[in-house]
Amino acid sequence: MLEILQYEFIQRALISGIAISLSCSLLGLFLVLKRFSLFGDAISHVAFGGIALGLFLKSNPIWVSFIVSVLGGLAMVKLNSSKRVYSDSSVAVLLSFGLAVGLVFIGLSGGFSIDITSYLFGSILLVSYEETLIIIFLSIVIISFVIVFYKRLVYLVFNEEQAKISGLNVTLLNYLFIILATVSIVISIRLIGILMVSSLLIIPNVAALLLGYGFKKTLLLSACFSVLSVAIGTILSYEINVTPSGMIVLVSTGIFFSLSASKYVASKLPQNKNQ
Amino acid sequence: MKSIVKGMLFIFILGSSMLLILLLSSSLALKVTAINESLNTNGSESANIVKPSSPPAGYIDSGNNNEVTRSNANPLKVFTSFYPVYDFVKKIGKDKVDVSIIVPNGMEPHDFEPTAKQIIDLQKADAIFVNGMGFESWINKLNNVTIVDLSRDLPLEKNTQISNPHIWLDPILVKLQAKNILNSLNNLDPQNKLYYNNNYVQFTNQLDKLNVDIISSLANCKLHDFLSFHDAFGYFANRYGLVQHSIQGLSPETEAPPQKIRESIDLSKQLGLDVVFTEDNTDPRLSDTVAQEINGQVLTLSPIETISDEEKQMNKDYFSKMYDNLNNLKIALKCTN
Repeated sequence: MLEILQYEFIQRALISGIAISLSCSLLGLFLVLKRFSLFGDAISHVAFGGIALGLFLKSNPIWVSFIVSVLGGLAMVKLNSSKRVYSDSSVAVLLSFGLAVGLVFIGLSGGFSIDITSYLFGSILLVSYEETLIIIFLSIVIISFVIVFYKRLVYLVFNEEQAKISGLNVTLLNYLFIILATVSIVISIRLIGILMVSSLLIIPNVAALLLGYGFKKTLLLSACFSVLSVAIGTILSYEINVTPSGMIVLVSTGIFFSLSASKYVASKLPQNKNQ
Repeated sequence: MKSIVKGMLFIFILGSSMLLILLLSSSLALKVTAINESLNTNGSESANIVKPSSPPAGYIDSGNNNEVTRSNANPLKVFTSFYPVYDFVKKIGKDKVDVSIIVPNGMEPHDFEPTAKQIIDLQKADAIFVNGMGFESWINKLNNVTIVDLSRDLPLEKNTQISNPHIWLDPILVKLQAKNILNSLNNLDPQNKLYYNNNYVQFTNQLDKLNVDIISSLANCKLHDFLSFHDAFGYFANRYGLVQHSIQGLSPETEAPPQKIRESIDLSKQLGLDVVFTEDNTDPRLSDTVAQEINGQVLTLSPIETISDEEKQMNKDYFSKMYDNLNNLKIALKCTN
């Protein structure tokens, strides 16, 4: 079973997958606690619009989509902070806007092509050596950002008003955070596809939150879950011979469901003992 | 202040809804007239053009001698399904035939579906030339049009399930396709028989030369196996005594299952290949991945299913793309001459 690990393409897939899953799960916890779970979905659809724009302009789709997504993310923060729009509605607006822009530009450039489908579903097995290096570098940037700003980020998540009063530059930190989250989403698109990017951000965190530990422990647990699901998902996908992105998401949802089931059983057990 | 804003909003909404209704109704009217026109032309010309005997898709009989009278001012208007068919029909019809292409340039024809507007346009054509062999699965959606199937009477195995449609990559089979094109053009427009015949002879001479060139170029090669991107070169490989392996199946999809990637790597190592082929209209990363693993290089082996606008500007055609393929094959197979 493990002889597949000799192949460099699987090694690259595992390394870049683990790097991405670490940074996504770290940022994801803050998103989940900010009640911003669907941020990933909105940004990935905006990124889709950007990719279509990039293909239409015949320039590098990833860079164009990166610029478009950062603008989209900042617009979303602006919309939310104005308090005139509910944050879930702003997600819905941006999501459909991104998809619509994408569809129009795909139409303008002559219809769906192989290129677009490769972005929709991603292909972790085809990640190149250079891409792996870029992903590792960006993940280090994101992880060190979270470590350096850890206390301020926690403050921001749990009590934004209090943080503002105590002199923290909330807007700047918010913008920085959103930009980094956007970066991690755009680089994950190549690996796991637009349609499933947000699963890496959200599912491991939701699973870790189920266990009800403190903030730091939850953060570490969710990192473990996401690394596990990427590693197991990739290797399983080879064994069953299916595409990896679906398998990775299935493993992470599997962890979530089995945890919630065992949590349910555990909640019944002590009652039985008492009786 | 508030009332002014309200008033402006009201006017804006009223105006935009009026505009919408106008647009909708005009586009509807256009469509209706277009459909009517297509029905009318079909009705009035039914005596002239060979009609399909049974819908949905009828086939023109290549040997049928139906006389059609046609003035030169009104050239034959035909549609072709995708690039090679277009190129072949154009090479025989030249200036006397108005040839259009259904799958736009630069688009992958395997998963193509025509738009509603295209279907309306198609019904106005004198004939539609298709490659056949199940490549144009959408053709069954068309009614009341003359369809010329170029794979007709070709000595091929027609599998009911999946047949290999890539006939155009074998020059000898293309000669038979050319014969089919010639016969149908002669039927549709007998006045220009001589003209079409001359072009046909010219075209088949070029095909014969291509065939000879391929045979002589591939005469002294170390290898006989090559790794193509998708299974497009089956007929070509059979013709010239080569063995085709492919990363993908018969149709180029995005995701290769992981075991298939590994098989391609192992196979290339076993056979001593150091070239992995990609295609001109696909994501090259799959071929890159395999090539990196075997320390090889990636070259293009075009299935000539489409042509980009840049290639068109460079006056590329079927022949120049076949010669490009031949040059890359010579590198891959380590040929000397």
